[in-house]
Amino acid sequence: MWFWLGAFAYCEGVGITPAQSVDGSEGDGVADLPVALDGRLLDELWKECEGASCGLERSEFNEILLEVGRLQNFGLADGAGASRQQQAAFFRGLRLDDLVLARACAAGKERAWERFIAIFRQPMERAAFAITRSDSLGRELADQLYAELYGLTTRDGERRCPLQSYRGRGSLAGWLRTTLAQRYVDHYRHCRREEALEEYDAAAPEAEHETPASEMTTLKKVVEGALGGCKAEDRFLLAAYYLDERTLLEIAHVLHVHEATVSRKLKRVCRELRKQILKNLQGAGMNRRAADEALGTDPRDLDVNLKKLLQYSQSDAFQEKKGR
Amino acid sequence: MNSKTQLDPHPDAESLNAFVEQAMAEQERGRILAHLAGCNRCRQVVYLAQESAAEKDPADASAGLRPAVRKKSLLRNWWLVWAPAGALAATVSLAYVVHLRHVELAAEMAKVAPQGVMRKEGISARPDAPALPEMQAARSPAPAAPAGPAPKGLKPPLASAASKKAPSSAAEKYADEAGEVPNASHNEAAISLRASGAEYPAANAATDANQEQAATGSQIYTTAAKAMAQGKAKEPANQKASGGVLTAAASPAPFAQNPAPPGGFNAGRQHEMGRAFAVYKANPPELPSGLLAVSTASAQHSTLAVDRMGSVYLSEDSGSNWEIVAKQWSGRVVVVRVEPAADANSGAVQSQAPTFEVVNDQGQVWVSTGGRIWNAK
Repeated sequence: MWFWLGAFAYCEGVGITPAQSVDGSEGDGVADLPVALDGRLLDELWKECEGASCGLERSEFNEILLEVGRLQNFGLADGAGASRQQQAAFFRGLRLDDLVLARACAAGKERAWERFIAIFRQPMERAAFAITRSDSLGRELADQLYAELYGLTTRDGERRCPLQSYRGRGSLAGWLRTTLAQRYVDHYRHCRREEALEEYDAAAPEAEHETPASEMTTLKKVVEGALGGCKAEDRFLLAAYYLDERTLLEIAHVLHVHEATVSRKLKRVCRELRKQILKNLQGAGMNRRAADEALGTDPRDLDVNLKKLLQYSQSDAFQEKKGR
Repeated sequence: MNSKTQLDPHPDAESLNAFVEQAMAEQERGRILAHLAGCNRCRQVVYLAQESAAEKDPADASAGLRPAVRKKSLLRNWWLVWAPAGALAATVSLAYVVHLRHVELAAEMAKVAPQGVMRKEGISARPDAPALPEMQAARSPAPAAPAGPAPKGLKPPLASAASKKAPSSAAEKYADEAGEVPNASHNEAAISLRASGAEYPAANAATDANQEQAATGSQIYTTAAKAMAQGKAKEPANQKASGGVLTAAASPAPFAQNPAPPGGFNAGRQHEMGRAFAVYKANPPELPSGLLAVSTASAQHSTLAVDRMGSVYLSEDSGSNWEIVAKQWSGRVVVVRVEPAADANSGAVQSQAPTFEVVNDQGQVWVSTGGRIWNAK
């Protein structure tokens, strides 16, 4: 008796009606992509997000949730089927109020835009000032993104709003900041190539390199192999610290760890890299003493592009899932 | 500004923001991290987004990143508050106690300071300083030891001394009527009490006066205190006690040997006197040798004092002029005192010359009547 009552309460808590089965007969609770959310769950989420205040209909809200769930496969890996519990947990983990506001704005709801302006207009401008470090540039960046969000950009005759790509995983404010940063970085990288010719200082032709010795060639291969075998996080640490020259604190903020942890990890990565290079050098036929001497080589004599190595070794270009 | 949408295989703003806000699954996070390791552009985007979030609301950023650390620091700061607060409370308490003791000592000093010293201080401190020569002149012809009822002329100066009103006119009256004053030292005591600025409460003064009147020879002090307390010209019974003695010793050891100097203080105030002497020790009379007196004894007009070198000096005008006493004892004198009278407690008037004692550093005692000729006791 108590078992069935508990089971009923559990099913109700995860948004499953008693009519729906969660036993193994449906593939360990894995459900097909739903056509409509359960009524109770939808009611619960609808009350939570206050979608009516944005001028959104309940049916529109249902469609938004289903679309977001499909796009992200309910937070699971590709190909994995999500049970109804997992689907409910995924929906409850979304920033529903931000999602509803963004989608209502993308749909052109006037009440949603009023609310968006009231909440995010000033934070957007402040974030733009912080990113550009300039009043005029920041204002221009914020205004341009605002116009873009409002849907002034069209493609194939259709109004396009970047807010449509917001899927509610992070906060809308964070999404706006990241979008501003993307726009600014793209603009900077684009304009950097448009420097005036008179300001262009042509670099002196490089001196002819002597034919690298066999040791140099071996060392180059070994270094490339060692860096290529690093894990993604280690390569990120090396790139952020040595290429981008970021501080330990900044890296720690990105990774959400303490800066002492970053320092410790960096030391460990460098120690392991050295050990790996020594090992590979010895594997290439050098004795220990010769390997140590090879490690003492001036890096400027070594024809190794660390930036290229770090940025392209084992890092495939980020492939977004199809359909996203 | 370049507003073209992303066509390159970079993560979109949604994914990067979810990475920054730790709102994505571990697997996808690893994929983003791998891309960030090789993509300078996306790393810059993440840095800028992080910086703008931190500058936008530093409180929220720190709360989101390290809530535990911030809570811990708040707790630690709370405990650190107790150290300065305790130090402040201790300092205030100490200052209050020191202030109380200072006030008490000042009041006792005013009561027990010897006439000569207090007069010197009174001269410099009193507001009616111009009247001082008249007072000195009037004081000199005063009779030595008159007996009988006190003159009425004594009342106004003492009353005015108690009320501290019209000091200059009071001094003039005092100078005019000084001829009737039986003992100049009475008035000197009263004046020095007034001039020293000690605000002795009237009620306390009256209580002290009643107690000391029943005791013995602190007639001078009693007269002044009673007059200050009552503010009227009722003749004190001890006004005729011209043989009243006020003894003061700078050394605490002899004072302990002679705990009740004749006519000095009653027994009930001995413990307070100890503190008073500590104050008096800081202002002893200066002797012709240039040294300060370490022990003095007064009886009638005669005052005997010994300096730090053991020389004994005699003054027959209450400390105005000093003459050295020829050495008639062995060792070094450390204490002078008045020999206790046999009928001291009876309050009877002593008409004969006072008897002094000196004590050397070996504890031997010599006795003298008048202070000039000394014999071993």
